[in-house]
Amino acid sequence: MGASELVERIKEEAKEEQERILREARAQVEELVKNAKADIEERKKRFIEAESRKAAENKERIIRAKRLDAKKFRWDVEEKAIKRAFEEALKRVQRVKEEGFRGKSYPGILAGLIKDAALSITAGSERSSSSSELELEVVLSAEDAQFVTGEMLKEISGEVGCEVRLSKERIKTVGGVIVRRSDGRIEVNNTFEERMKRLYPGLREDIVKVLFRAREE
Amino acid sequence: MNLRVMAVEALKEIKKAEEEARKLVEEAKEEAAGMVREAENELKELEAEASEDMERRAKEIADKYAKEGEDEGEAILREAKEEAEKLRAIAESRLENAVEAVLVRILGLNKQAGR
Repeated sequence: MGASELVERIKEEAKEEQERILREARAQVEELVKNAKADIEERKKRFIEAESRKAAENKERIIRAKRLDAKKFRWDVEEKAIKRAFEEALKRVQRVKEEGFRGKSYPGILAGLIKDAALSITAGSERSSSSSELELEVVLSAEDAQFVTGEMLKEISGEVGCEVRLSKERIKTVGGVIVRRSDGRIEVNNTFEERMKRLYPGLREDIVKVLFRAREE
Repeated sequence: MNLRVMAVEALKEIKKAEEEARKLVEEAKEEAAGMVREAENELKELEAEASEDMERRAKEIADKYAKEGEDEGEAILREAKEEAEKLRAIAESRLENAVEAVLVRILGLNKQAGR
């Protein structure tokens, strides 16, 4: 091989090497870009999916909060109406004292409450002493005391089987009575405020039925 | 003498060719490294653009869903307010019945047989 041939060979090999290096570099760049773009697209997709889920959850949270507010509207209306029914009922007691209620006079209503209380006490006292030994006293407000007569108490005494008398003590109440054993061991509070407290769960249900349920049934 | 000169000249040419070949390969390597560097820089820019794009799209999505939530929520509230108003009117019209129901119980008339 001559020198010029050798030179040509060196040049050719160098050229081939140059092309190989550049070809590999281009392939490397192409692969790099392809992978990086795919990676970016994948991350974008996952990110958008995650953000969409977060946004959808946020939307549901907003709607849930509004639904809760909506329930509160109904709850507020119900609670105000229930409260008003109780307040109006207590206010109405004054009219009941004057006009009676559903054909019953107020003294008759008081007599019923006294009798119920007396029967509860006598029933509770039966085990410890005989009813005839019992003496019950009726405590009322000054206003209600005027509705209770000796004749009424006598009649109740006969019905419950023990003496029922009017106490000199007066209490502050819208109306109703407290009946207790003279020895103070048992007392039944049938004042309207106390009955309202005691009967509250059932009364509340009744009011809800009357005010709201009838419409839905 | 002539032959020696020729041989020296030939060697010089070969050396020169080798030097040029080495230079060519070095330049190719540098060019290749440059291509990779350039691609990496472009990818960094692409990455930054993608980040901005993702932030923008995330905000668009969040805003869209939040608006849908607010709109649907407002509709629920409007309906609830109307419903509550109807309920209030119905309750008002039945108040007397409720008061009577309370009175019956607190006056003890649900148990009394009559007096």
